[in-house]
Amino acid sequence: RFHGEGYQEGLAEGSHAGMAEGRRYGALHGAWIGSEIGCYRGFALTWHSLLQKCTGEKNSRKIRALDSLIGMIQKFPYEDPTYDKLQEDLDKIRGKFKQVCSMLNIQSDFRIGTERSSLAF
Amino acid sequence: PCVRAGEGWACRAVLAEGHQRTVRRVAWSPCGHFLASASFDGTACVWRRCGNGFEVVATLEGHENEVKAVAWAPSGTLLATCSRDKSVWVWEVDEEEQEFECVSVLSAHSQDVKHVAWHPSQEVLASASYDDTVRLYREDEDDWLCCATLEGHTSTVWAVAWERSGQRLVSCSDDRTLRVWQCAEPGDTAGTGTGDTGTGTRAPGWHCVCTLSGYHGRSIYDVAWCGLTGAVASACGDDAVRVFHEVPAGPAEPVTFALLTLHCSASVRSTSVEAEPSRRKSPSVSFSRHMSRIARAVLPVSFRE
Repeated sequence: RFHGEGYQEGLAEGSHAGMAEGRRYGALHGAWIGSEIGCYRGFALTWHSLLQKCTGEKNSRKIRALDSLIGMIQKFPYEDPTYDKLQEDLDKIRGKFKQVCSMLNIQSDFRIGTERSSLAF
Repeated sequence: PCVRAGEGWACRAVLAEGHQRTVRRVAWSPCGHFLASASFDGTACVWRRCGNGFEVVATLEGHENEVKAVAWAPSGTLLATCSRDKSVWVWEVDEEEQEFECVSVLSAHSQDVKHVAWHPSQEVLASASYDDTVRLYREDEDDWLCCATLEGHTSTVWAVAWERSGQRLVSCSDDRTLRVWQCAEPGDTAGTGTGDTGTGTRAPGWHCVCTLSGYHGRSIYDVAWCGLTGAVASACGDDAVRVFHEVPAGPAEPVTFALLTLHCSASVRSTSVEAEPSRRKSPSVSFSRHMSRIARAVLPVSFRE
């Protein structure tokens, strides 16, 4: 009887701790993804407006790629963590970002968090 | 037959200034004027003839680590690279400007991508990976996507080669088998084999129509499909080159290949090009226009057709 009670108590406590840890991890991971995509969005919108002023065939290709990236980010379901293609869409966004960086001749090493920018003047 | 250094072959140029690490693969462009090289330094270079040597006309950067292979599309306007970073990149060539622009970054594989090969006549790309699969890609409305995944190998797929018609491809693997894949059209009736739905009709898509196992003693690192004779050659870690010939069969009969010849390395080893120790056990094979000149080299080679 004590075994049974002990087990139930342990299970309850473990579940509770697990839920808390899961929630923390989920929040952290969600923040990472949000931060990453937010960065891509800011990057894409900035370059889009910068390139609007330039003309030429080459620029129209870059703008098309930027539009595609912006579109993918807009379609990304922020509200639904159970979306079954979440990882796939995320990979596609990352791939499109790398392609855009390649077209713009920019290094795509993205750092998440509060690390200092590598920019120096 | 084996190729000996000095018999009609001489080193014309050494392209030393382009890469900082191992050059893993080279490929001539279909027009023959350009050479692409893939390197462990994370870049691919494109070279053009310049006097008696070659000069770099472009350096394709972007992969996060070692670039394992590079391949030109038959049209000469597209280039593909693949890397340990699990991605395949497609680049578009502007021949006049000699500029290369990345048109897609495809992250369909879950592991290191070892090899890429273009369809002989269409802009369709195949890739082979450490994740045991072969994947196919095509362009769809301005973007590239993975249109098929060929599963069946039980270990790393080291290389793929297309049949001249483009209707089949062969893959070689760490699991010591060669697999031949064919695409079935919807409504196609076929005989017994994997993918048979029982009604005699094969599901549309790619299916493995033949598995050659028991022929190779070690991992198979490279495979080539002769464009003239239809024979398949394999390069294996057991020091042998094997050539397979397809056994003619009716439309409803299963596809089979028979081993035609077995070339042991004893005679070839003494003439092969020395390579760095890590690559010595990984031979490569490629066909020239004539079967009589299959060259087994320790470094990857590519023939101009």
